[in-house]
Amino acid sequence: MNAPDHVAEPKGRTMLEQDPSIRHAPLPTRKTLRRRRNPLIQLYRFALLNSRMAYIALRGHK
Amino acid sequence: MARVVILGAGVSGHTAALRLRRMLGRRGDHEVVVVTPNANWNWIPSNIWVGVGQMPREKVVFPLAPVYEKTGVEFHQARAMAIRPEGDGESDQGAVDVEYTDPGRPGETARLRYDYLINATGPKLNFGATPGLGPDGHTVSVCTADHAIAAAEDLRATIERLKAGEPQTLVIGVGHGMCTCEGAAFEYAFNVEHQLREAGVRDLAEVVYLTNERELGDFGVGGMTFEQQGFVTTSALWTASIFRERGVNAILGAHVQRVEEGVIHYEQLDGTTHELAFDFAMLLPPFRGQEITAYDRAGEEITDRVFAPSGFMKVDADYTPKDYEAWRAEDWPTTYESPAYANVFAVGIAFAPPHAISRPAKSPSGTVIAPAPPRTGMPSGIMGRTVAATIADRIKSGDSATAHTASMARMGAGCIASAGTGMLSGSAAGMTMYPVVPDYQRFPGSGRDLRHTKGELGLAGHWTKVLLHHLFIYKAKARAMWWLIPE
Ligand SMILES: Cc1cc2nc3c(=O)[nH]c(=O)nc-3n(C[C@H](O)[C@H](O)[C@H](O)COP(=O)(O)OP(=O)(O)OC[C@H]3O[C@@H](n4cnc5c(N)ncnc54)[C@H](O)[C@@H]3O)c2cc1C
Repeated sequence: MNAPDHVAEPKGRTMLEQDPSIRHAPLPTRKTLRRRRNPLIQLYRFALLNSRMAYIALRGHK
Repeated sequence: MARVVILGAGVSGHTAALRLRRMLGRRGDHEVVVVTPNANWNWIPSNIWVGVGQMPREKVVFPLAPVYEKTGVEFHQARAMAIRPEGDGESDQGAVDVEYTDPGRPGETARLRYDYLINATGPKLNFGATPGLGPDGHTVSVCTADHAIAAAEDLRATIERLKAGEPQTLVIGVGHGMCTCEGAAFEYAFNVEHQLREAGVRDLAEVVYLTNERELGDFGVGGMTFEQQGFVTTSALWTASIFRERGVNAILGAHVQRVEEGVIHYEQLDGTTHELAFDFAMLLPPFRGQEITAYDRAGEEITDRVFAPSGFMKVDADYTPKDYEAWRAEDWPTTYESPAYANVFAVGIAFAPPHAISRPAKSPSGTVIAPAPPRTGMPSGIMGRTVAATIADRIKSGDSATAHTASMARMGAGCIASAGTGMLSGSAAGMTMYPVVPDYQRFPGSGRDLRHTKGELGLAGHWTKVLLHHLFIYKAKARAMWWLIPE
């Protein structure tokens, strides 16, 4: 299966075969990649991620 | 008056010192003493950015002496060499033998007495376990700020060769079958990959992640299970997807046997052995406990009573050897008290874990190839704070005061694995898990609470990593209201 053009094709000279777990892994779509960089969406994700981290940290060791 | 001696001023020891000083009162009668060989504190997670030349050394280190001066902690720039929990011929009060590394006191030694001792000496970077590994051999490291500077220099030279049109192979990972800290190797691999793209030389570069993990996304915690968009998925699939997207290759289940100039020799779980040529290699070393010996009152060595063979200190864990299927959450320590001496504690990387978290594995020739359990920043800090609370209570109310508890099987952790810097172009994998050590009795299936075990990739993770960098350095400098920042 060829990688879509927005994905870096591995290049190399060690002739290592790509690990099957990587070869068969799902690829993010262009839309997903854009979402991961969209500042507005990421601001929301930032708030969510930090509230999860804070919950874990404050909950500490129950 | 009580005297508490803390060995080590890393994440766990420094947290314990600042918290304890605050709990006992700034001007109380009690003494909090820190013994550590380095004059500076280092925010180790950001060494990754120093190692790709994106952050100067000064941003990740600062001198400890002014912080301890301000907070009323006695500071000895020295290395602990031996502990005497029963005291010696002169006194039955416990003591630590130290050797000063303070440039003003060369060669000086001292015996420091204590009422309570916290061992927070972290890991010995055991490059010697693999011939040719490390800064004195053929690979670089990012474990200390100085190592990271050297790594950045080597990476810069590699990028120059790429710019001159020479193809290069960059190998990043772990340098022994029993390493831990795979998360840090993962971060460095993707930060290097990001730098290669930024420099416009990605085309000629092959990036290989070399790891002892049996599958990607294990990170020494046996991997994670997530619920995402209506599916139950795993960190293995999620991590492999990042590798595919970024064109990074991986060699899994590998134990590095030795490194020669430009060649890594490794064995894999199936028993095959291989050679891998490289132009740049950053391989983390395995960890062991610091070389600290222990003596009884008569001066007889009792190191094996106090420390495990790995050099880490034995605490209130269940060290009975068991098969993987018999491992239980309750095996993990809760109070970090030494079973031999109730006034001695070990926190952070310095305590001996009862067993791994990832499933054990051996090659047909018997080589152990499986991650050792990580003790990352958040759990290390929580342990430091917990033991500080126990000691403060005992000082105030007597030795019968119940110990505070913080088991890694009852504690969550947040982990942000950077995959590239840049306020608009950076990214990081943000992961939270609860608990760190899976508890299959409480959470049948994955061993963790899926409501609090999550992973996501994006710019938000990078911003969080930057935020944590500033927050934790602020806190470690004991600036105003530092104590409001949780571990
Ligand atoms: C490159 C890298 C990146 C990392 N990134 C992350 C991350 O993103 N998130 C995360 O949560 N964790 C991360 N970690 C792990 C984190 O650094 C550790 O969890 C944490 O430092 C452990 O704290 P500690 O106090 O046990 O040990 P340390 O922080 O290593 O501190 C040990 C202290 O003991 C001192 N010492 C050593 N020998 C002696 C002696 N004989 N006497 C007295 N003192 C002594 C040392 O000088 C040091 O001050 C990373 C680790 C590495 C190597």
